[in-house]
Amino acid sequence: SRKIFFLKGGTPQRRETMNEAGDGSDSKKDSVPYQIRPPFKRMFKPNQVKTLIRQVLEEELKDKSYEPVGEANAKITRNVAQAVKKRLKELPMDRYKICVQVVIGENKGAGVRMGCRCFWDAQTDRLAKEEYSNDELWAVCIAFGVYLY
Amino acid sequence: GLSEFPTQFHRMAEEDYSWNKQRVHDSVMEILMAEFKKDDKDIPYDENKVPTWTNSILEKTMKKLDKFGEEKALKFAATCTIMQRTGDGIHSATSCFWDKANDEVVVVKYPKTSKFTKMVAIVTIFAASMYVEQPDD
Repeated sequence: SRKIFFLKGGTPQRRETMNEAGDGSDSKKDSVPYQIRPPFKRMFKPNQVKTLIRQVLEEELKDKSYEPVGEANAKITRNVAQAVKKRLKELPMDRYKICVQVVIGENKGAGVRMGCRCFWDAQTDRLAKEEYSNDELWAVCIAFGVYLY
Repeated sequence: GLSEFPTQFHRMAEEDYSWNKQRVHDSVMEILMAEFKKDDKDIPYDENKVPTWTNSILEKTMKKLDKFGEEKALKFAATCTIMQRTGDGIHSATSCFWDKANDEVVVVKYPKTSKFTKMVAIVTIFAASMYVEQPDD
């Protein structure tokens, strides 16, 4: 259904064009394009971000185990979160605020459930999530992209 | 003790919905405590009911945040993690690239003290402002 939207209305930029005359006339000479939506190429792309998160999780957590005592786990979790954010900053998306959350736990059979809700603009804002587990630990990483108008 | 149930004190502040990190934290804490207690007792962990709990907590949190976000034009993303308490550890970290002056993370951990409850819950709320405030000319 997303495809139909683009075919019917033209490119997103054109739909948001405002006319200086204010009378709805479509004269290109007078219209001033106010882009309040990012162009499709510069959007937060969930699939791309998901693969990126998977790469980072595998790199960082491949040989790690969950230390029962000490600060090591907090440090690992923080490092993963910062690594994901760093990689996301390099992607070609402008005016996006990035929020990353990483949850890591011991893989010993305890039941876990994670849910999320967002209150935002569904046309511009997106999320991507990925899970990872090895014998010692499990990890979940969720990244939100929130557009700044 | 009284510190576990601040509901009485917070009813007075209920009218004020300007964004305040502590108030948001306490509102969400109330939601969590209401969810995990039945007749003043901790409810046991139930694998089949966990999705209901997460959904309920998130829906209620969103309703509360809706009121908090009016004055400052905020967008919200919230996650809720519930884990069975079997002595295993859990860690959560956040990292954000945004406007530190206007945006905030609120993390609510249940239970408040290290009291032995049947499960652990972490609610993380990312509050991002929608636009940059421009000064009037």
